[in-house]
Amino acid sequence: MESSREHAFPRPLIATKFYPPPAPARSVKRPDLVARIEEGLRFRHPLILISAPAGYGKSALVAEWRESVQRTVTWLSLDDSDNEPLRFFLYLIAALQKADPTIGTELRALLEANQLPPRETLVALLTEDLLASKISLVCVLDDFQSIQDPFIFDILQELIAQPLPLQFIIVTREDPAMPLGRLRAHAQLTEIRAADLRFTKKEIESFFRELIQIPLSEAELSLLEQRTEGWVAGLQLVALSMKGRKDPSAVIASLSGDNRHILSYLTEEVLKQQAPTVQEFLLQTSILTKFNADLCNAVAQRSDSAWLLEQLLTSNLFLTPLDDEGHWYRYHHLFADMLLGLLRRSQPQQLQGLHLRAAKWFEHQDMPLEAIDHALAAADFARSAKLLEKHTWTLLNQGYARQVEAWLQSLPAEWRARSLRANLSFAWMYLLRGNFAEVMPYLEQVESALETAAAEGDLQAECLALKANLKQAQGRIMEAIEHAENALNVVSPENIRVLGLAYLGLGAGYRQAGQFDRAVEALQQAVHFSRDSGDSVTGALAISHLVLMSLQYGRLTFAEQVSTQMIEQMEKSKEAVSPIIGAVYGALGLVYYERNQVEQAREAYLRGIQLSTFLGHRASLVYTKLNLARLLLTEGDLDGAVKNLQDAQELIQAGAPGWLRPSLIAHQVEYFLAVGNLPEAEAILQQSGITDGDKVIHAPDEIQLAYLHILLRHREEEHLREGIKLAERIVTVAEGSQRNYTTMLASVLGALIHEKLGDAKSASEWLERALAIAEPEGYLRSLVDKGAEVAQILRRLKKKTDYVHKLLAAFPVMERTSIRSHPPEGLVEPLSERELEVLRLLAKGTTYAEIAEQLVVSLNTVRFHIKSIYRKLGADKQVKAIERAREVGLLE
Amino acid sequence: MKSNPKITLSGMHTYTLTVYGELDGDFIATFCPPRTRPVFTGKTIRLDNLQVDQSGLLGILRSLHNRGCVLLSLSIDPGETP
Repeated sequence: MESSREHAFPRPLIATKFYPPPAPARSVKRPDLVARIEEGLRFRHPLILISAPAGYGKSALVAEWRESVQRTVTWLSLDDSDNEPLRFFLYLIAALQKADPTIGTELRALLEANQLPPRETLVALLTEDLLASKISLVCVLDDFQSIQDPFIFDILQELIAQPLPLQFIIVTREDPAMPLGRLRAHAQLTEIRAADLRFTKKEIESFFRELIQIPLSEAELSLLEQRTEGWVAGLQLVALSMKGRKDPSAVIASLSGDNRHILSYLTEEVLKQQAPTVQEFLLQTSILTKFNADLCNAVAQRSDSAWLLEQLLTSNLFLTPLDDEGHWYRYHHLFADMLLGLLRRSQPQQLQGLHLRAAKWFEHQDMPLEAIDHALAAADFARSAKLLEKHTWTLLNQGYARQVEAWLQSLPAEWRARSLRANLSFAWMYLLRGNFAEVMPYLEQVESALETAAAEGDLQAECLALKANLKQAQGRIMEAIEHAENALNVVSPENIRVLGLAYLGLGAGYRQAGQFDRAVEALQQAVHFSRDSGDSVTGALAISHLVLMSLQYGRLTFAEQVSTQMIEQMEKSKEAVSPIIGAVYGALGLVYYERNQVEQAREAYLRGIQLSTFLGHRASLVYTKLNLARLLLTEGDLDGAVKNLQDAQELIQAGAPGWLRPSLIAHQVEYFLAVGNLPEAEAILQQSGITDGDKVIHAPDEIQLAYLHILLRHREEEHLREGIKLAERIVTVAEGSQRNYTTMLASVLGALIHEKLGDAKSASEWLERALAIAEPEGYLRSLVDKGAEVAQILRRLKKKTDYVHKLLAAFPVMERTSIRSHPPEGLVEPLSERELEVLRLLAKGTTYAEIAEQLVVSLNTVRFHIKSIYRKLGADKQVKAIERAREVGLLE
Repeated sequence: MKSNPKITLSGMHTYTLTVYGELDGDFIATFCPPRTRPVFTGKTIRLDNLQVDQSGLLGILRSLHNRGCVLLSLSIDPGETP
């Protein structure tokens, strides 16, 4: 359930992060190093690593290379907040889209909705899009030392390992924890390191003579090279210190100590040479990681910042523009560190006021990240807590979980305890991710605060709604219902978001308690309120409960109506889809299947499987694979059925909700009975702890029905009599709680047992009970799949309704569809009808958008079909797919 | 500027690094520079002849940290500048 709880409102990405810094106007050109980068790219090295400490001119070198070539280059400047997979990949995709907007469109929508797909899906989708792109790209990742997350490394390694039209230039202060040794051994890595970047004596000479117009003697050059080790930042500071001095050589002679000491010493020297106004401005603005004139005016309480910034830029005072318009700037990291150090030492009393003014400015500009940072630095905990209360949920949805958590932890305990909404937001986030253990500390914090403070009713209501949803997910049904009802009692009527959440907890609780009507009513309320409040995730969860429950209760028509409505809405919407959508497709497929619309069922299942895989929703994937296994089994595709059952089993073992296990067992039993392996079917049930009829009566419906099915296959009267008793018991209990689907299946099996015992009258009566449920909802396959004996009983019925005739007619239809439509020779898997339709349109040269319009589906659906067609035809391009389709006779 | 002028921020140096943890030969081949020699003594691994600059050394330390290794010692080999 990893997803956002509210309407997806992605904050606009920070544009300055994509801005490639221009090469310094006055700098020593480094043609040899530029040539090395080019050579690495020409040799198709997937990674060019530029690794050296700060101030060695790494970014300047890449900027010089970028301006000297005609390549398509995208740039991404990273910072510590990007060390979260969701955020990193969102920005990486956005950077790639600057060069080719078709790359990662589906992924981006997901990431913007706070959904991180599984590793395999992420790699597969990116790879596919990159291969389809006609552009060869170079992506520069600047300040990569900020990235330390193993998941990010893992994905980048995958991308680097594949032959893609994408090469990375990683600019970093330390080597990334990636397999550089292997890349070196396979000659796939170009490295430019500190030793390569340090200025040679010749370059130092050229730097001072041509750019600074200060010729140095051979001895001075040697001394400078020795003292600075050719460190560019140091040389620049030396040059700045020399400006306007009568004896420039004295600066060189005064250098002593290590690089850090030189830097500190020179920064002070440079500062001393500036006018007092500039000195003050530099120190005051050093608290800012990025700034514009307006912000500088606010922080430094002046009105001439625009002019001062111009002066700094002209003086080459380590000012780096962050955009083309000259709005945003930053200082070189090293210079900023030194200035801030100076400010702390010389005017510590200023710091709090400066940070506070910065916090207010960012708050006013609706830039909460920066505002919270500065508010905390100013020790303004009231403001920090207020900002966290207001923005935590949005920031969590934008992938800032680590950062917000760190902020929350850095608040003093009393303020943290007062941040109820922030704590509540964390609790929701972990609940939606299914990480129940992590929910508790945050929930406890909120609850203890609620006990001591006179909290507003809505906060209390939200807390109760959260507990209701937590308890129902943990199977503590009565507690869930109680919390939900309490939430509804205290919530104010205008708080529709919390109303939706409370009704969701209530409906899910009633569903598990077997109270169908109450559950439907509550879930419909949840859908209604969540729609009004724009909370798409609550809406999707409520609908999925409604659909799955409707099937359980034999309400096929209602399930079809609700699932179709949800799918239509999703297809029309441009938002990222809810992860639960895979199960909704699985449920709709089951509706089609029951009505004997086999191809539509298959299509819905395959779409459900695609979406569940794509969105990493394991429960939906298991559910849909089990349904598909049943369809394949009845078609006689035993291999296909086994494959899907095995997949489902592995997924459950890897960690899927417990409610899917009985369904898996029932499907496995069904398979072994279908292939005539009664001992194995019994063994499956025994392994799950069902060794006799006494044990089965406490098991879920699916297990009871599977046991009943096994009893039907026995020849001994003793077993058949036991079957009758069990069928009667199942029907009695299921009828009592309106579980019509269970009643119907138990009645069909009961009818067959009576038939086997030679009691034709009872067999007819039992089957008529099943028909009373099946007819209004249009069930066919649940009866037809039970075999010719059902048809035999049906033919004996005195009153044959239209429905009975339809059922009887379905038997031969089933026989026809049971002959597996073999794929054309050379193809492992056949194309579905819809895929053939798409393929034919593609062959006619129809565009994706035109296909979407003609077939009345979304562009995303078309893309899914096309990917599936490519996979089945073993092609990676449209031309190849059409060629292959002609070869195997799929196209005229 | 330094007591030992051979040791610089930008230069390559030879280190000996000892960690406690689980490492295999694959780690050496995958993450370490060529000619690195591992010496395994129980769960203690010594990496001899590790020829890296400062940025490279930080990267190796980070990779070891990510594998749950505990750093026991790190020393620079005098006169072994490659």
